[in-house]
Amino acid sequence: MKNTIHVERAIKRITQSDLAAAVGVSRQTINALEASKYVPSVVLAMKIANYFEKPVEAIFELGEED
Amino acid sequence: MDTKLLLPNRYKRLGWLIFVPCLILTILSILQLTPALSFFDGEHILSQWTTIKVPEKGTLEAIFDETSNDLAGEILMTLTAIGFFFVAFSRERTDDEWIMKVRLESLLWAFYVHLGAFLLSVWLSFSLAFYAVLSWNMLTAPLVFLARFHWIVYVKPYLEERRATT
Repeated sequence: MKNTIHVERAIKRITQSDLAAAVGVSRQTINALEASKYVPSVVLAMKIANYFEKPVEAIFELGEED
Repeated sequence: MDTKLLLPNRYKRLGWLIFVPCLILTILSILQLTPALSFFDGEHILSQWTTIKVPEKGTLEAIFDETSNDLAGEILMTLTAIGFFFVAFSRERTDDEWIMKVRLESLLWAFYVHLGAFLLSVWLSFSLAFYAVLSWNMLTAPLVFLARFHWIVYVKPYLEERRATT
C-alpha cells in the first residue's frame, strides 16, 4: 500500500504530531504509515482522508505487492 | 480501535517501579552470588520478615513444633510477575491500532523465542542443569516481549529521526 500522507502534510504544513492528534493516533503510527511499514484500518484511512478533505483513493493506493 | 483488554496507562509507570527492582533481585537470587540475596532458599537479609510459622506441606517439622516457612521467594516471584503484567499490558499514552499490532507481533516473537530456547534446553541439558535452564527460560518470554515492543514503538523511530536530522 502506497500513500501520499507525507506530501499532503507538506502542503498543509503540519507535523506528524499535528496529524496524529487530529486523527487520534500516536505520532509513531503516522511515522510507520509514511514509511509504508503499516497498512491502516479502513477507519483510520478514512479519518486521514477526511482530515485532508480528499477521497481515500487520492491518498491511498495499492502497491505492486498487494 | 478496541483496546479494552488492557490496563489504564497509569499502571505502566507503577509496573516499571515494581518490575525492574524485582527482576534484578530475582536474577541475583538465581545467580546465588551471595547468600544474603538468595531469596529462594536459606537465610537472607529479609528472612526475619518473610518467614511465617506455618509448616511446609508434607514435612515432619509440623510434629516437632519447629514450624517455619520462608515466603521471600513466593513474594518476589509474585511481584515480578505482577510488575511485568502492569508494564506489558497497560495502554500506551495514545494507544492505537498500530501499537496494538506491534504488541501482538511482539507476543508472537516472545513465544517463538521462548519455545526455541525450551527446545534447545531439552536437547542440550539434562538433570539439574535442565531445571536451571528452565528457570532462566521463565524470563525469556517477558523480556523478549518488552524489548521487542519498546524497540519498535519508541527506540527505532527515535534513532531513525535522529539519523534523518543529522
